[in-house]
Amino acid sequence: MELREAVRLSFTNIKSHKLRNILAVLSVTIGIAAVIAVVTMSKGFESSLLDVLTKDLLRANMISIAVEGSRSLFGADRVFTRRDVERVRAMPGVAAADVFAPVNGNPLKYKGRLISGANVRVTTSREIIPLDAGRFVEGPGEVVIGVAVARTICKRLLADELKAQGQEVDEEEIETRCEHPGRTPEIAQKILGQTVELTYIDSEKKVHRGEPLTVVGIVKESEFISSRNSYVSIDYQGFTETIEGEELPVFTGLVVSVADIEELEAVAQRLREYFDSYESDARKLIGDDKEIEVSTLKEIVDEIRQNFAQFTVWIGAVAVVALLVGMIGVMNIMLITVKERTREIGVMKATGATRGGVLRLFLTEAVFICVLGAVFGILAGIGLAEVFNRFTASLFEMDESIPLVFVWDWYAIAVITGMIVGIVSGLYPAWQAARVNPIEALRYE
Amino acid sequence: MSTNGIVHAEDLVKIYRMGKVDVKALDGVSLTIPEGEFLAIMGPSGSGKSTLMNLIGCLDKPTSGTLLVDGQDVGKLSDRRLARLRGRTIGFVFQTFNLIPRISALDNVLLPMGLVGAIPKSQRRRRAVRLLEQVGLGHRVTHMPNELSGGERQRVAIARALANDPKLLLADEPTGNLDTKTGRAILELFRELHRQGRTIVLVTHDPDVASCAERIVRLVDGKIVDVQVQPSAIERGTRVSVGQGQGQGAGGGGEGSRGAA
Repeated sequence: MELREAVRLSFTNIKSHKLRNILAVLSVTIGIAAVIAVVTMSKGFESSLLDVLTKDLLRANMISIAVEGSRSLFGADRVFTRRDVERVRAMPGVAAADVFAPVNGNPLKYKGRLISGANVRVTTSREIIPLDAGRFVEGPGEVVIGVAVARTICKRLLADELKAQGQEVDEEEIETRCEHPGRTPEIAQKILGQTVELTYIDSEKKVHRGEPLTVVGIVKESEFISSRNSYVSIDYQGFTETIEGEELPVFTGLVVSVADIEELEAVAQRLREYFDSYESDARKLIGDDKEIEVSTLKEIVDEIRQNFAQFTVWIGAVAVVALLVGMIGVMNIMLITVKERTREIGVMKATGATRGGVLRLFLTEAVFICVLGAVFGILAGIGLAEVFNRFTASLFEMDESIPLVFVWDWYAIAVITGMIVGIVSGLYPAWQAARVNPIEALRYE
Repeated sequence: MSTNGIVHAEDLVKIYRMGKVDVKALDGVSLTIPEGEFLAIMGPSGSGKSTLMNLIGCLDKPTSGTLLVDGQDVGKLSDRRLARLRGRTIGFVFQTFNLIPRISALDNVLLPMGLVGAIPKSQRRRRAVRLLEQVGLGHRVTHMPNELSGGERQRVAIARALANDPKLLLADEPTGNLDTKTGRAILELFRELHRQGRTIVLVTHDPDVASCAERIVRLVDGKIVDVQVQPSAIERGTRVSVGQGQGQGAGGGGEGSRGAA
């Protein structure tokens, strides 16, 4: 039988038992849709994650060093001493080493009022922290503020402005206008140049009260950087540790830049060896309990990718189960169809259809149902992913939406899987149909 | 081979196994059907007429004996070749019409063309319409089977049987599900097809129906017991009483035996 005839006959059959066949299609659709949705979402997350990581934060020639388990990319444990940093800087192949550490002090104040939850960190870096507006700090007396801090300042500024003009303060409107302070040039212009006050203790245990800092920049909104963190120059460094009788400033994280990218692995290896040995102050402070993680961007990216890949494998296993269920559904429908159409098969055989022809006819039908299911599944999966992406973005008040990634290879896999499911689920029923005895079939009521 | 007629059967035996018992459905039937004949096979139920029909229709193979259909030995053909022979040489008309209910009259007629592929694609549609016109259904081409009367359905079935231009038309009780008047019209259609040169084999238990045929073969218990040449169908029609060796007599068949009678 010609394929076109088979498809046409299958189609009329599918059309004449709409509900039943829709259910059969659905049984395949659900499995495929689930897989496509999850894969699409995970690829979206992965891409937005990697995007931020690679474009905003880390460059390919950088190596980040922090104690394991620290939730911040720039570490939490204050273990790296100035001596460590100096030694790292002296290592061959190292172009620069920037440090991160919290300020030993109180949160920021703005116009005499505390900005709650505003942490201040010192850093030597001028480029690692990405900015939405302004420039990075160049010395003492300057601060780059986090988005949350900028919002607070913005709100107070706008409220004061309105009050000064004798207008009523519409909280909601202010809230909206201050949503993205760094990205709204008009707002950013107002914030830049404002003065905040910092009370802190320096490395000589001297307390500085209400030290004025000029806002020179606003940190970029990003999942990787806390919106509460503001950054000042190394001059405000205050935490120290005493090692072998010597009191040294300590830092939570180090970011090393390599001069030649070819040497990246070699430098990373040198750093690992150094921080694994008791030669380093960090190891002396931390002991043997914790690892000090030395990660290149590639490793971080690889790790993220690997996590997602593992996730995908897990999803694959779930998908197999879902497709198995779909397969049983289609097989069931096909068996019923074959039974119902026994007479028809008899007629077809009497009018010249071969066994192979009948087999192909029913296989075509099963494959048709399953491929249809796969196509609908792909579309439903994409839709589901987009809905979920938007939901997630709004739920976590993410600044940037999660991109909808089209996973073309997975669509191909889905359609091929549909075909395979169709063939597997249709084979037995089609074989049943092919071996129908036309004499008995024509007598069949 | 074709000199032996479109169907040539010699000493056909068909044994069915029903549980532990062997049932001899056909017991040494010999018969030749020349091209262009209108033959009726009669007999009570269980006489083996349907079995003979299935064998002639290449739906089944004989247990022993020789059966040539259009010169091909049915017993020796593969399933595939049998299907091909069925598709190109034989057209079936059933008592219960057996139309495919989901598709239109036209598509029902087109179906065997698609299954066999003997008719060039470009001609199929035109041919199907012409066949429906020929059976008097030119105005019902796009109707679905359930929109047609019994007689009309059987006409569609006849058009379908003719789809691949078969030499032989096999009809199994084609009027069995129709009222007398409609049945007569269908028989008239068969007669018309016969006049156009088609070979027709009609299985029936109804003497009235059988009377349309040129020759009537009667089966009882798997044996041919009587061959009757119809006076109405051909002018010098003679009833041939069959005693011993009747199989042979009928088997010699065709114009020759009639001429001799």
